[in-house]
Amino acid sequence: MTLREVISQVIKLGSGGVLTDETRYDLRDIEDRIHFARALAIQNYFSEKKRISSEWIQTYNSPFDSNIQSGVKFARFKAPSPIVLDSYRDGFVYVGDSSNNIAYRRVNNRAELSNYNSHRYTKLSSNVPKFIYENGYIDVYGNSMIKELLISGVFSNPTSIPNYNQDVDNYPVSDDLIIQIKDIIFKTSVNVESGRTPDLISNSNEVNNNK
Amino acid sequence: MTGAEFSEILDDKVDKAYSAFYSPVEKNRLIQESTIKTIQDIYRNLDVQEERDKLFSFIKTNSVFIPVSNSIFLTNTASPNISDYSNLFAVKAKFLQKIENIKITNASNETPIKITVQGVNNLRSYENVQISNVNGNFAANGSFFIKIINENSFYLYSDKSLTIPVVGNGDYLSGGDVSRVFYNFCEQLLSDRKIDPYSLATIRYPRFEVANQKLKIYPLEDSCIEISVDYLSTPPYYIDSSDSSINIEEVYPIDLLYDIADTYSNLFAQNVKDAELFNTSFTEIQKNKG
Repeated sequence: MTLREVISQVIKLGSGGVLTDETRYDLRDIEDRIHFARALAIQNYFSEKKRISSEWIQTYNSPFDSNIQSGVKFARFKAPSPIVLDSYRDGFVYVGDSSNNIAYRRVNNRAELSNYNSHRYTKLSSNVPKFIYENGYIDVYGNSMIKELLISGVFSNPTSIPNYNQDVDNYPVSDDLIIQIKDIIFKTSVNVESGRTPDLISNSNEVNNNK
Repeated sequence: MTGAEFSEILDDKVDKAYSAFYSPVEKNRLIQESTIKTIQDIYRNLDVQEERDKLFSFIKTNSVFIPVSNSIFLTNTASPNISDYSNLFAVKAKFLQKIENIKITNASNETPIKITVQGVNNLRSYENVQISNVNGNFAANGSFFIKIINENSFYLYSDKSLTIPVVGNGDYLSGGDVSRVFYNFCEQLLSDRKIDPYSLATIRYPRFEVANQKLKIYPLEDSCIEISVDYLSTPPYYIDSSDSSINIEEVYPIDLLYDIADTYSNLFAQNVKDAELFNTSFTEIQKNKG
């Protein structure tokens, strides 16, 4: 099911099974709510079962972009924001070599990276590059000659992945999660909004018909 | 049925003795008013196929127009225009968006043309793309449907089912840009909702506005190259009560003609202050609505 089809199904929940170009819902608004509901549904699923489904995972190669580099000791790559699974984990599944067999070690902050580089054991024994994710970028330390980074994960906005085609590709969500997504959106917003009469008179005068 | 024969039906409905009340010109004017009111009344209640069948001559779908500066006139005042526009049903807008992070490195001189690109892309088979600025193999410039070979190359076809390959006409020299074609239906943009950030149009979610005698397509900052409109048109001609040659049933279905006749007698009754005729014709009009 493509993203537009999911949007259509969600809107029809609140409009009696019909989607028209006069719908009270903005399509872009519903799209954002779907991303949010998907993240919430995945979070709930993970907290219960402690696993993620392969249907949620997206993978792409992030190319080296010389315009965004800001240091010589690390290579910087653009990366979309992963979802938050729990207090300890986020949506990154694999970040590493584009051959898909060397995963780089994740460090959570620069203090931790500094400890790795300072500790007498780890600074000599570990050859695996390390990466930090911050502000939409992945900084890879330990090999500044990397030209491509394979990133695999569950992301908060699937449409931000460069090789995802939102008009053709299936929205990265499993069938059981579609039901939960529609449920979340319907209960938290569509149900509330569909019960209120919209102000359809375009005269810049708010009319409150909900007495 | 000709206009003259229809005029006899009208005379029967209002009682022939009153027909001399109107000159042919006045009669045609009242027929025109009745026609417009009847069509608009059916349009306002267009929820069943039976009602749509009455208006089959006036409902136009998938009519293609080329806007200028994302606008098209809805009257004959200037070009481009929809000259017979009455009411809008739906509009679809076509935009192009250049895929910035890829560039063409080869366009093979074979059948079908094989395009090789550099850069991460999200192109898929059966997508509609516009290729431009290819030098050498000029047949590679234009609007095509693609068949993906691998992540960096695809074939060009002229049709969506990928059965008509595009034939190369020269060796590739340089250049080439790929743009994705977006052709989506528009939501209406109302003035008092422009404050909502979600009401901002994008090429993937375009919007339309009817204002300044025009149909405007948003976003205005991106060039809309084509629109496809479903609309209710004005009648190609109004019934002439003195005409005995044109078969009006080719445009006006018989049940629509009887609806027009009922509206005519209702308007006639209002003009001559005939209460009985007014009530009778009003009842017929309500019955017709079902």
